[in-house]
Amino acid sequence: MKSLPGWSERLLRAICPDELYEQIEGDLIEIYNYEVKTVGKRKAKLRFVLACFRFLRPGIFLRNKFSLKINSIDMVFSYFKIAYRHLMNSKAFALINVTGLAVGITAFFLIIQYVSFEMSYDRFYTNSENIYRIGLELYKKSELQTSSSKNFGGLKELISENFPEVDAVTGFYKTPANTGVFFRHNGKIYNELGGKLNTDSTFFKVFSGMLVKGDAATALSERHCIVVSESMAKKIFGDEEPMGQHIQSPNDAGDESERVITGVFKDFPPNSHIHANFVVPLEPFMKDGNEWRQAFLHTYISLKEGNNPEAVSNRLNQFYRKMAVKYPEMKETKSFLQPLTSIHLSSQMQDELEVNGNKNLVYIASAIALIILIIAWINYINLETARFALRAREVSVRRVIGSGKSDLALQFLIEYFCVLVLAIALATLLMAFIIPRFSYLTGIPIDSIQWSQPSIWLIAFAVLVVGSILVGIYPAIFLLRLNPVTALKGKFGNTSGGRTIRKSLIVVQFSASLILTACVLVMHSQLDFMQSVDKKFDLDNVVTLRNPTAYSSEEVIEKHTAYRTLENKLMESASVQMVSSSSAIPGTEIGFTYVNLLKRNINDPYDPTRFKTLFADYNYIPFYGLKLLAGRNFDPPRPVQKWIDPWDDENWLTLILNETAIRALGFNSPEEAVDKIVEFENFEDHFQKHKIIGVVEDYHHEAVKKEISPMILSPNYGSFQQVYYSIRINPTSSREQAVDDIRKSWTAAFPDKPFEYSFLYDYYDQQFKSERYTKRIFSVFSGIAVFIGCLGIFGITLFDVSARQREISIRKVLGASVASLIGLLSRDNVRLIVLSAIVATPLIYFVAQKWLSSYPMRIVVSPMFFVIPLAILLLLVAFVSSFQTIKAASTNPIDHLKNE
Amino acid sequence: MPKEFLRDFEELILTMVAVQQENAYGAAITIEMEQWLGRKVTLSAVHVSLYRLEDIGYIKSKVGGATNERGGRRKRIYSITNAGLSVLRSMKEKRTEIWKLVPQLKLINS
Repeated sequence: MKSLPGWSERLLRAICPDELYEQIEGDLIEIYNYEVKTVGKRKAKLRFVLACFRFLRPGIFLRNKFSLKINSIDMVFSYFKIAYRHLMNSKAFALINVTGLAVGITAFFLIIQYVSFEMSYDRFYTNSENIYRIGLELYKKSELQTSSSKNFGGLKELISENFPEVDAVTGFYKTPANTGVFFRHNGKIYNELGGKLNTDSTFFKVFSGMLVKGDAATALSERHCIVVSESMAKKIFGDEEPMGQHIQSPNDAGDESERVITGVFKDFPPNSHIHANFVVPLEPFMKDGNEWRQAFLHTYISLKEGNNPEAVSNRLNQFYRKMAVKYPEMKETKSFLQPLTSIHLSSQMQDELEVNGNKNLVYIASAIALIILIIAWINYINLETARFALRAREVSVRRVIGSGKSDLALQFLIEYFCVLVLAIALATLLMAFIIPRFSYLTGIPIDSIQWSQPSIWLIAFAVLVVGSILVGIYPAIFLLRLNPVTALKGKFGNTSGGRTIRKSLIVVQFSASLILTACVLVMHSQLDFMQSVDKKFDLDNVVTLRNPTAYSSEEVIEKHTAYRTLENKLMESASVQMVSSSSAIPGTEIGFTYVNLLKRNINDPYDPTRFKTLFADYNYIPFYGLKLLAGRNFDPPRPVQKWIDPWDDENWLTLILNETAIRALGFNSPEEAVDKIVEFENFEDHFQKHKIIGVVEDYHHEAVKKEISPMILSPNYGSFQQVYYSIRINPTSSREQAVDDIRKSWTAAFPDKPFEYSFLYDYYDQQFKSERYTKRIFSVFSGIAVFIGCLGIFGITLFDVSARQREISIRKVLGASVASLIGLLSRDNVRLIVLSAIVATPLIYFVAQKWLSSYPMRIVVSPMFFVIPLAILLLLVAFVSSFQTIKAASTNPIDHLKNE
Repeated sequence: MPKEFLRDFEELILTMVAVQQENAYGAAITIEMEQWLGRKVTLSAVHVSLYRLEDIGYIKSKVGGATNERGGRRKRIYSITNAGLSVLRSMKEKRTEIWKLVPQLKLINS
């Protein structure tokens, strides 16, 4: 070896004092050559590498003389001093820069907060990475019809018997969070919301780490077991030990059965897609291992380490193919594995446990965060480079004296750093103010900064740091291009290159502002449209109540009596016009949703159309003002003396369908469908002949956002499926009066049940919650973007006007009018805005189309979405820049010319 | 008495410089010591000790000739100063004196 390899030379040069370097290098080479001869080449090389790194010791690098460094530390102090003077010299610009950056950084971190929350879903289990949900896809003629998050009841058993690579499998049936769980403890009656899961003992094995008290293996082994959440245990038992406590809950047999608390689990955190307060064993009918007809269990597995989910789903589908011979329902179904952590952001299937988030929204939010930050940086760059004319001399003198390029870059970086530190201080204050109000803005239940996703925060900080360095150095690079000699002679000014860059940056700012404003506008219009769309039913002045005994097992006659009492009492009060009962009210999802439910002929092949069945009384259609297109309403009920099963009474074997449903059955017109006999599966595997007595116009029952599904209205005589009561109140009586009347009737009918009511209008409106939040977030952040952009324009105009003051004065002396001068000064900005509009228009169109395409009912993209943001921007820019232009144009020209 | 404390490794190196005379430089000392001690000696440790000894004033250095096996790099040749020599000598004497106090019989017994 004649010389050191490159890396070691660089390393040693960096750590060794210059005067010693040559000898150290020589010694290393000599020893290496000696060792090649004595111990061989490979070993010598290894020892050489070690020897090089051994020089990384204080005894060596502390020998470096520090005089040079001390000198540069002095310079750094001087840079701080210059930066301070520079900021103080132009307080207006400093203020603009600091405010812009502070607002930008605040917005950036708030959005990152939102993004990290959305991305942190379901990562709190000890084995989150290995948990998968098994979704079900239904095909019709090999075309994907629907995908569902629930799977067949028999799947659990199939997997636990045939898949050794699966660690544990569990399936559960969830009772929705808004359905109360009734029970009694110490004589107190509870009706607790928050959701209940029917599942098996493997639940806590799959979702490991959830159980705080109790044994995962036995907690759900007996029918009387119940496991409650920590907060619920606290609520019911206070500080008492919850384990082994008894509660009484109604059972199928009609009386109360004891349940024993056999475990306590951690509350599901807000960033979980499953929420429940109670976990109980599966009901016997849910346990059937040969259940391959109905998909009703959410099924989750935890895979053993190192297994491919693809392979599992492939093997599973082979089983499905084999079993389709026996179970025709399985013929065109497929299962697939969904990673647990991807469910919240990527899964939009039927029967999702909760309204899931939207991946695109998260991406869009991150993009907005970046855009806002970039707009703030552009402000800084523009303002700094615009003022170069003033600093060119300073920089030239520095260069002539001998300051190097890196020194100058450091100086500008330090100036930027000062601005940044001030901005971060301001941003911290802003954050402290905003964070407590953050959950209102985004709907995220957090009130303090969460660091749950370190990787995202790391990326965010990296973006901030790298961006800051680039932005800080850019002005220096820009200035270094100046020839110091000419600059010293006074021949500087704005180079045309610099101006082009500045202008294109402003175009970027304007385009971003235009796009964001347009997005807000599109969202606003779509939301308005959806809220005002003709829902084809009347939801004003309706109060709804939930029947507290709907699914409980009290005597049906008693339930019926209670309802009669309620109805009679209600009808007695002047404030109530009409009462109706049904299994679902507009805005709630219809629970009885099944495939293969309705056929024209008993021998018709399997049909994957999902029909939704609503059980309603004869008041329902007139109550909600539904339009009967053909046929008639249900018959009024006859007084019930004793319980008869619905299917034993001929009057009950009648159906009213909506338009979509008759189309799905293949009828051409409502008239054709009326009086036809169809087969309706009124309980499992039991088809019975029903008569179509009427056809109603399609109406938006579940949500305006969703497609209208085929709907079956079936009568709910007696007390059968009376889950909700709708009460139409007299529009002339006051709301308070009406609610009070309803409360009195309620107490008469259900003396020991808590009274809860809601106005249907508000309830139905809930479906727009996510749109409203999105719109609010967008409005706020596009407002911020526009604000920062305007700050920048303000600064640039301030500078331009003062730089052109002499020109303006001369023009004025030569006879230019104030108006023409204002025109002259504004021309540039207007030109830039027009250019931005040209850039932004196709982008706006694309984004708007993309967003709107997810709604079955949507607005068309109108020119308004381009014109209004443009007008807003023009007005704002005109407003912001007018102060200075008018001032400049109307001052006395002598003031500026006499200084020459 | 020495005004600066010397560790035994430094003392060894000081002795080596005295032994090697005209050939006392980093690599040569390292290789020589490895042969004497029969164990690996780190080059950087030798360098650090040489610098320290030079700082105290026990050795002095000059830049010497280059050879082919060092890739044409010059050596830094060290030579021991009078101060160094006297320290070395006094340390050696102290040690011999103390050694004499060790009861020789005891060694055999144990």
